[in-house]
Amino acid sequence: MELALSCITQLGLYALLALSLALVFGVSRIVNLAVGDLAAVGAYAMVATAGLPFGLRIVLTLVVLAPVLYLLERGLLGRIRDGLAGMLVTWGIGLAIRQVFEVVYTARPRSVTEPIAGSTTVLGSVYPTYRLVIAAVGLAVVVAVLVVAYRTRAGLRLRAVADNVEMAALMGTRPARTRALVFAVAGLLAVLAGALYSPLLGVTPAMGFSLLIPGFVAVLLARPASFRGAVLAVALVVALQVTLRRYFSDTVADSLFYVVVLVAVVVRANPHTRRLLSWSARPARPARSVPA
Amino acid sequence: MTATAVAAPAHDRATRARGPVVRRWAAPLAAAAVGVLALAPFGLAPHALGILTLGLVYGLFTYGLDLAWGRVGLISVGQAAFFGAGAYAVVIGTDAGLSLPVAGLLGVVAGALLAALIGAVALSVPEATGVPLLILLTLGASQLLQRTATSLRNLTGGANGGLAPVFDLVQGYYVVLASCAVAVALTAGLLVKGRRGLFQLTSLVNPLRAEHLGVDLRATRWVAFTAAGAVSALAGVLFAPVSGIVTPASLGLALSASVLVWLAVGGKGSIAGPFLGAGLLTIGTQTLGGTLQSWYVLGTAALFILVVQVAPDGLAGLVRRALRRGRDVPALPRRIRPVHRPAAPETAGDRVLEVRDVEVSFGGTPVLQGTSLTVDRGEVVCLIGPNGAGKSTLLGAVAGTVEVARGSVWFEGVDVTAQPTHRRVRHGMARMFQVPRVFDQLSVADNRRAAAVMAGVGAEDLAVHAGEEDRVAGELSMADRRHLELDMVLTGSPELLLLDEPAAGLSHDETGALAARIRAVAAAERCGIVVVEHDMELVRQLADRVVVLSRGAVIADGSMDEIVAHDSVRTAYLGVP
Amino acid sequence: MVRSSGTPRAQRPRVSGRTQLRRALPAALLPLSLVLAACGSSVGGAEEAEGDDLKIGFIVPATGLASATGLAMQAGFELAVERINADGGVNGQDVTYEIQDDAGDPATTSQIARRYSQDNAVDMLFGTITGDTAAAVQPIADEAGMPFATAILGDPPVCSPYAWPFGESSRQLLAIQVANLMEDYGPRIAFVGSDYNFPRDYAEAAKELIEANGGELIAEEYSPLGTTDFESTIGRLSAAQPDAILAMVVGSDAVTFTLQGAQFGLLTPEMGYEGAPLDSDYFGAVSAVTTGREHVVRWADGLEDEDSQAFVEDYVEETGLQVPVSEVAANAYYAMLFIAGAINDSGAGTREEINEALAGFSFDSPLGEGTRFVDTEGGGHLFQADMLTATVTEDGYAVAEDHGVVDDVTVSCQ
Repeated sequence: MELALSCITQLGLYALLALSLALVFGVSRIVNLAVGDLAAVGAYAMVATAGLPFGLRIVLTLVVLAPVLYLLERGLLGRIRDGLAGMLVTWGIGLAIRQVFEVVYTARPRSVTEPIAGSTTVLGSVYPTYRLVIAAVGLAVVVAVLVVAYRTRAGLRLRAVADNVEMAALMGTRPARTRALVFAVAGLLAVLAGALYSPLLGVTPAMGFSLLIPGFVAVLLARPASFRGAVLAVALVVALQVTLRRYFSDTVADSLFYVVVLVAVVVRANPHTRRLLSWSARPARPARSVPA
Repeated sequence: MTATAVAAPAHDRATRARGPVVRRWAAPLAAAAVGVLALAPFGLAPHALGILTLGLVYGLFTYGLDLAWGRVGLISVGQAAFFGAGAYAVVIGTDAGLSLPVAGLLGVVAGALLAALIGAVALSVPEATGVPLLILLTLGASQLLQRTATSLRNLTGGANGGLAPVFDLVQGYYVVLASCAVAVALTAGLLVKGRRGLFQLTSLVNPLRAEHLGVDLRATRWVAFTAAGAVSALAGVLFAPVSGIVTPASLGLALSASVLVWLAVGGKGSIAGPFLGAGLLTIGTQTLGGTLQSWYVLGTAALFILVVQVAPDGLAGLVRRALRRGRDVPALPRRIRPVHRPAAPETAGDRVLEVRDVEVSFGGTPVLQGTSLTVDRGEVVCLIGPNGAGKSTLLGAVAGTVEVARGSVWFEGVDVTAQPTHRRVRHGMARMFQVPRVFDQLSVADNRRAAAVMAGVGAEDLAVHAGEEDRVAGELSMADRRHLELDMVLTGSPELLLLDEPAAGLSHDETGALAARIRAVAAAERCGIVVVEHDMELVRQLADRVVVLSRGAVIADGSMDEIVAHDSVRTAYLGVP
Repeated sequence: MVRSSGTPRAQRPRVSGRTQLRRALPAALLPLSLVLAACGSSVGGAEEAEGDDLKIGFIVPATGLASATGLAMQAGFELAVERINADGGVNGQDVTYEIQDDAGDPATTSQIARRYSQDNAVDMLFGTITGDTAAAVQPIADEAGMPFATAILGDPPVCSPYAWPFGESSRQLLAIQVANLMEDYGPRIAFVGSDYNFPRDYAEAAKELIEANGGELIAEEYSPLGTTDFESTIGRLSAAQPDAILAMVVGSDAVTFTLQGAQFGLLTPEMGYEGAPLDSDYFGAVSAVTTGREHVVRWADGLEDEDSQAFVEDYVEETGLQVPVSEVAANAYYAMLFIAGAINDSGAGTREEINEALAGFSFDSPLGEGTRFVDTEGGGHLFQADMLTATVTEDGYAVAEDHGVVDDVTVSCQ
């Protein structure tokens, strides 16, 4: 049971980050390397506004940052189509965020007090209440974004841009505006993740770096334009990570995580093994030999 | 060789030397650069020389990444895995009593093997899954190696790193400079120039067209990726004695990210770019970074954000544009030996193509269900049928881009079911696509050259029309691009020509001209032609025989008149029984 | 006090693998320097510095993960130089220094160290926080015959006659930490650390000392640097039912582990807790968990002597930072006073003379009466000064007990 609760807590965090990455990658084909640093922005916003009610601080942060993120995209990323150039810009943005925090707050770790202390008993397991609350909030937001993406007209436009920009432009959407809006929404998801989870973490300028990997791996596992796929993939990644950590020491679990992910993707991607796994008949076309 | 002149641009921007400007300048510039670098020890203070050496090492590392990313478009976010492998080979090797050159050689081999393995796995799958797989594999490999290096303290020194023998300053500089020159010369000679350069450029610009000209995409990419791993490992090997200490950071994500940044700033797809980007940023960090501290970091962040707004292709792109007066068109290498085309087998009779009971399904949905088709020499077969009947899929199965679950494809009397596309192409199969696939970013002349080389004809005596050197294929009209594509696939005198809706997007007159040309080709070249077409008028003009496909099965096969009279065709098309 | 947030120091199994290349360096530099001199370039050879003025090459991670610690060290160092020069300098001349930021990257560190070593005017090196950067400097210092002083705690990565580690060693800390924990909480100690050399060496020494005291090290957990989820680690630690937890998780992980440990009910007031997370670096972030606990240090800003209080006042004024003052700042401050005293005392001028002066000098400071260096196995040095137990209060670190000098001179470097 603790295992499940642990998974859900971690999923709340990483689903937000993975969805953020997937949204930006979907519509702009840019890997947003600053996603972790945007989470750090959320966490530092909580540090800076300590004293006000927690919910208000989060709302305030999101409201203030929404136009900033929108303008950031329009100003700096709008004209970029090349994946490497996009990475460079987002890396630059992340670097600037890290350094500004380092100058303002120093690299000394900060902490944020959780607004809800104490534990709750869930099906016989005692678990910190705050974790359950943020997991619920995080997952609810993820579900809400997915519902918008897959069930509304705005979502249809979004997915149209993600699937085929030229076609979407012909159909009358304005891809540039959609892209900027999506970047802002995706950025807010990351900020929200950082704000919600800040009471669990040592808040440092470089904290974003350690939050990057699970979401990144999940997005790579999913189909490029599939937001649902990214969330599903992150659920698998988190479940694997948490389970491994439960049964092995952290260092071993960390290495095993990569081994399992790599073996899994290789097995899944290879037509030969995929066919073996699906108990199908002989391969009609043998796997191409490795060219020398 | 059939060649239709592509209309020269009305406002002829022909300044004859656009492509070659850089070529003319490249050799003297490179010589000057190497000359200046060779003299550096006589003009620089020792510490400056040390920084320059480190800059060159990182430049070589970045150049290695560019061999994969810039030259064939393979993305690696864990390139430090190869760099670190080389560096640690020196630490571990010299500690075990090997000499520096031997340990270094082992390091390069280790990097190459690691890259070869990762490349082989990632490239054995279709491209859509292969790209993320490659990213995951490089990322995972670097993370795993970093963890291992941190844990195996007795071997590597753990997080504090392991010591390597240190170069004497000047000697070290020359060793690094010479290594860079040799590595660049070797890779440029073997990969960028000549035939492999053509393979690389075409598969970067338009992989599908490259494959359908006979380029072995997988081998091309695999070789490039392996070379990239070897060069990155060589940089790591040089790093060890330059730095004197190798820590797990040499394998880490931060270094992998740095090398991406250096490449992006310097510019992809060039020799100078990676060295410029890595060199300038390394020298900056080592000189300004030490004293400016935070301001330097903020300055670089601003630089990264702004450089792409001014120079989207990096510094090298900026220079190229300046030299070529605003245009940045990649050019094929010159003097390429034509590819050897195997002669048609003796056993081949009149039958060019035979498809036997082919079954194809996409994700469990059957698309072709036991479809058969034959095509004879000089015969034009039109494939018709309602949308979703499986016409294009059948063409794909013939060409080898669609995987066949059951049945077989025989081409020129040979079972080619298991053959990759490029091999079928080299045996004389040619294909045109619904949307013309030419190398949009290359000049029209280079498009023709690429086709000629791949067809075994050779580009030396290729007749290039006025203006084609300066005209980029992507600027051509739809009809011109289609004719260019037809020229290209016909260059090799194919035995079988596959056309997917050749009239799509053409005017009535253009369609007529195209039809006449296709008939002429069939007659002159004696090749079999399969045309997928909706335009019934065009079908009537073209077809010797019409094959009707519905729901993945052939429901009628005969002359146009027979087909029109056929009951099931009317049912399939019109829905009337 | 500070344990650094990057990848600090620890054991370095070997320093072999050096070749003749290195010995040939000075010889090869000579003709080069002649050529360069002819060209009019500014040139440094590896010869001894001239004159008896003191110039220090300072290396600091002023940006990056370890920057908070690095900048604290820099501030302490600069305040000391200011004071020394106000008091008449060294050998009658002002002490000068140059500061370079290595951003915590060993490749950059070695470039900087080499540059200093080639500069005639630089007499000695000072600085670095993390073990990998210190390990990068040491061979260069050795080759140039240059003293290299550090201020961060923990065993130095490389034992060397040119290494002058002013920070306390692992065992100087542990001897008292272990005794305190076992006395106050019980014999069952669990260890948690970040996964790199220093915490592993630390745990090894801890195990030895715990067992020698009749206790037991019942669990050992390591997490990679940058871990954000300690839930399973905390679960395993809880399951072992320890009386106390000794922690060597550093950087943001120190805060993350402490916060999550408290949230999951592991770090209750009844559970002993000592180690890096109680350092002043994390003071504000984890005070809810650490206030009232005892922490072993070499220097605390709660020391009431005049000298320490004057330093605290200057430090706060200089940096604008609030108390508590980092221990590394004080280590750097008193280290620099020690160095100046040693040179003044002996009149040393060259690198080699300074190295000898440091070995034979004895100095009274708030760190203790007659603080001095003793030799360790493996040819290194260990700084002998008093150790304190401080109580974490709401305002800082109040000194509870002075333990005097810890006699254990075992270090993990080689």
